[in-house]
Amino acid sequence: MTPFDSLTLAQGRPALSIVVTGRNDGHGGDFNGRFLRTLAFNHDRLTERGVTYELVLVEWGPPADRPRLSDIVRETLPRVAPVLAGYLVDPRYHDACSLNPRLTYMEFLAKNVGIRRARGRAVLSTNADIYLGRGVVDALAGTAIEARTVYRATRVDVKLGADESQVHWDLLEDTRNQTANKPIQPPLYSGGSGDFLLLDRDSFHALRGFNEIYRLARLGTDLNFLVKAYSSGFRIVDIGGEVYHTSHVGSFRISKNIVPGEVEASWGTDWPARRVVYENPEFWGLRDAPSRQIDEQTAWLDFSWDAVPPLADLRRLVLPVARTGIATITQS
Amino acid sequence: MGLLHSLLGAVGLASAGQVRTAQQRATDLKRAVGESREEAARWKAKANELSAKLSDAEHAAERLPKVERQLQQWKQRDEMHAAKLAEVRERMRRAERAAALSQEHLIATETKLDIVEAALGVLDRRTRRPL
Repeated sequence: MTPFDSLTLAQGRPALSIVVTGRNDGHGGDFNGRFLRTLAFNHDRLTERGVTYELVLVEWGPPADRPRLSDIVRETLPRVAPVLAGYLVDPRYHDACSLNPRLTYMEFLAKNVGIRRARGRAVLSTNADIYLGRGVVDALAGTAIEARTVYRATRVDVKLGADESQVHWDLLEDTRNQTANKPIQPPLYSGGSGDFLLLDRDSFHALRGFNEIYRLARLGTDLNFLVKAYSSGFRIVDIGGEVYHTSHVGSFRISKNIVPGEVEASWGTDWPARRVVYENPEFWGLRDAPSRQIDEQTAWLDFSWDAVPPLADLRRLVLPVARTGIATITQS
Repeated sequence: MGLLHSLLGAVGLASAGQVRTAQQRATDLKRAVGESREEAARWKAKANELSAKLSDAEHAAERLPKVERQLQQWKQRDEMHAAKLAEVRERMRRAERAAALSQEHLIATETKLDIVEAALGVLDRRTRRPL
């Protein structure tokens, strides 16, 4: 029984699973503050519109000497607690899975853990500091999610002040608070892809989540998922709304200009994410990790070599199937 | 007047008016003769021109079968060249596709090599750690 079974049994299967990952390590400066603010905001907006959802929070290698993020969420935001499904991933998985000793966080393996265990009919993979826009919430409340369709949203960076306690849509939508952003374009609708990838659960599982074969970088793995989805015949569409990200020290867009040396540690080096795709093994998302319930809503994934993918599984790295627009994929 | 004319005529003379009329007629006839000569010259030139053209046409008619044969040869050569060009184009298209595919395979292979190198690094670190 997974930690969310009690919730789903009580409330029925949620329409949506929102999968985020993070840990209480102060990543990017005041990670917890940014996470809790966006979480509260998104929860209130979704609840207002009657969207039933579960929050799948995956803590990848949580520090042993600090409170767990899931506990902080329950204490700080009791109204969010009922929808929380937390997964704590044993830190040994990082060392066992990583192919890049400089990489400090395996974001997409962590997200796969959440996607694999998500119970919603649709799964939104996003980041812990993303505000859902008005158009996105409207779409989630009113639009039926079509199968084999990846929904994307344009990410808008906002330059908010230190006090973000009173964030509301008018403030986020005010172009004076926004930095230049590139609207997403077909065929892939890439650009800030990790901030919003929405897909029906079965399709997410059919694609077997994000790339677990090339484990040298975080950078481009979200884009690589779009290439795989497109090459596998999935539709990619713009959901018609925006998501907002607050600029902060430690974010990729700022770090790449200010502290390029640290970028590799957080994101890894550039790789041909548009040119190769993957076929994850069937045990993707640490399927075989022994799960131990530590409270009603949180499970600990114990370490087991059985759950760890091979260091090198080269047959599973393949060329994408050509489709109309493939030239645009490789060039855009 | 008639009697005077008769008397002058009897002695072989003509009146001044008759002389003027005769002179006028002579002048008119001379002009008509001149014009006729010019007209004749023009027609002659035209006739010459036409006969030259006729001669050219006869020559051309004689050369026509040869020209037709040459034209046919050119046409065949042109068709051959067009076919060759199409074949070369098709070969180029295939070569481009093969080059693009090779490039894709090369990128995939390089990416796999990155994985192999990284995996070796991991194994190396794991091996050294217990020592």
